[in-house]
Amino acid sequence: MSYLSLAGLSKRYGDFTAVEDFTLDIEQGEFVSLLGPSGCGKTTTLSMIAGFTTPTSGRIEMAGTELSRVPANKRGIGIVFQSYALFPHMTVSENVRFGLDMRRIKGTECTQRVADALELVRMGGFAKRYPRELSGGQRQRVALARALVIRPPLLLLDEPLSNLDAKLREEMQSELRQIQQRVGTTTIMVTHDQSEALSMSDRVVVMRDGRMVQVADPLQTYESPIDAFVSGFVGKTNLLEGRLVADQAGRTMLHLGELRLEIDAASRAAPVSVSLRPEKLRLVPIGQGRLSARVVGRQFAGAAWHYRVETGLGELMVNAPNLGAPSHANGERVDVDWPLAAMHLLDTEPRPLDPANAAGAPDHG
Amino acid sequence: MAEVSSLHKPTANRAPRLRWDARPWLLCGPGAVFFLVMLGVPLVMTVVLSLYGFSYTEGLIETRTLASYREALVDPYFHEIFLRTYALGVGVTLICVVLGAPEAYVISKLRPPWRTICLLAALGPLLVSVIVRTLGWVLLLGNHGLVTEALRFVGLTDRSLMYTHTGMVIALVHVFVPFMVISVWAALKKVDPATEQAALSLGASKFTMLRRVVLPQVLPGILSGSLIVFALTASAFATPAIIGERRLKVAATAIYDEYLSTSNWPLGAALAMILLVLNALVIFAYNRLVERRYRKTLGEA
Repeated sequence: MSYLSLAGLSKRYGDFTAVEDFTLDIEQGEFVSLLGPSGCGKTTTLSMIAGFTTPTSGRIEMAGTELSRVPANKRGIGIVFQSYALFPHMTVSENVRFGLDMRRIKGTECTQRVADALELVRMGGFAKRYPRELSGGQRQRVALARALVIRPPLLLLDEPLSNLDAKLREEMQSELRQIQQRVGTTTIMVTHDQSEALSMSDRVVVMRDGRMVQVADPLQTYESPIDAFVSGFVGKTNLLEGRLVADQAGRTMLHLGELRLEIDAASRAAPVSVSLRPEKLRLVPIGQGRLSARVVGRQFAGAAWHYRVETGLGELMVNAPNLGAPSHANGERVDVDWPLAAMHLLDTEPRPLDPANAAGAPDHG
Repeated sequence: MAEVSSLHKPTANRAPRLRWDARPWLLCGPGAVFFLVMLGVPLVMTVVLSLYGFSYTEGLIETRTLASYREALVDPYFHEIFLRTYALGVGVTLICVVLGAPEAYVISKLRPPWRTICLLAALGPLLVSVIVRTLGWVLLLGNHGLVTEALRFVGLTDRSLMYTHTGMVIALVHVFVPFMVISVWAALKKVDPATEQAALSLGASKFTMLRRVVLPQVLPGILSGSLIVFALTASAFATPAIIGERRLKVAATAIYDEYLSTSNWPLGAALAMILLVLNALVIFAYNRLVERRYRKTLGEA
């Protein structure tokens, strides 16, 4: 029996379906991200778990207790809001204390827990400050301390890092993850930022139009996206149209333009999309690669070069690590090479989510 | 070449810029002149007038005396009037807080079309002249008015509410509660709705959430709304004149009577100055208090 079980959770507003049949089992201590573009239903799902939105149908069960009819203020769930939602008229320590006051925890225990929570987020020296005297990152930490001080059975993070600048966001990603692992609180995070979801979670739920599209661990989400939407949304990718053909020797051949590649796949004749991540492609001297190409654009990103190359299969993105060597110039003729295993075959038709995939225990591969 | 020469130009231009610049003065000139003529001059004239002497036989006497101030400050008749004025001010303000603040909060929680409709309905009375609204109350509160007949029917009272404090408070609250609604509304706009959800998620009941999270955040709005309502009530003329008439005089109607019935202009002017100074004192003291309290936590109050 899993710790948190969401079964057939749906929310409809009149004719509009915000969330349709959200089913997911979450283990204790797990960090799950709901990832998707805006309007995909991820925030509505979080709001239903928090108790701010009443589901149209479905069940929310936490540690064996049915929650979907329990009011938000009786669920005891810790929430970090996108806007942080700190109480502006209270000091940092009063903010953190609020949840303990509501639980009538007083005296030294209260003081100690507030101090511990602030220490956990490294805000010990700011107890007397007001929220408006803090930077965005500091407010974020206080919001986390306020949510964790009540020792919630479940922590919900609603786009917790989206209001921070890029550098701070990266720092907070790893810090948030460390704190979560130290405290061990089961956590669900909503985000539209794929790098955030990949770097912090045990499992990623990709959502689109109110439905779950794929549930997998971060590596699997990135390396084996279930369809073109996921592969395009989670990271950048080159999508190539091809065909699977069985030849006389019984091998499965992938036809990509002029290319004929033998691949290890179930033998069937069908059109397929092939996803090729830009960082898996290499630019090599002419005659040493699979595909001849011409550099038509390049961009320097410090750690890497982002090339656009024109090939017989269309324009491809190629990311090459910056190893200090001179880069390829615009107009230069090169070959593009990649390992066969880098190709990921996608169905051209979107496939309904395999329920076994969603309900099964997480695979921490 | 053009760029190079323009780089050197500022040095040549700097000299005239150091001279007195007339533009800001010209820009705020018309407003300042209007203000001085329409407010400053009558005010000075009132001060001068209040220092004149007066006798019922000779009328205005051109001397300089504080006799009118002495009369206004010593006579128990005026004490009662000022006491009534400020008691009304406090009472009406408190009732406006109790009615207006929850009204603004409830309206802010309505769904989009209803929110606008209800806000307009709440502010609608401001579109009708105070006199017309007060005359409306006369129709309701008069001897054969709807409210009076209803109260009589229920057996609560057989007297009309005209010429009573209750009647005056009802009419004044009706006139001024929209100012409280606007003021609290503006404060509510600045409240992050997520703070309410945060309070709930931390285990607060709805009531605790309102008391400990929403109320403190809109308190600056309630306080500035009170200031407006108090100042307007303390200087109100039309409503007390119509509902209270001569039987329940307030400062403004007393001043009117000194000017137009008794023709004791210096006394009227002295009463006006006392009302002005008292109102200004209350408002400044209150404002200081509010600003000092909220500058640190909520920024501008």
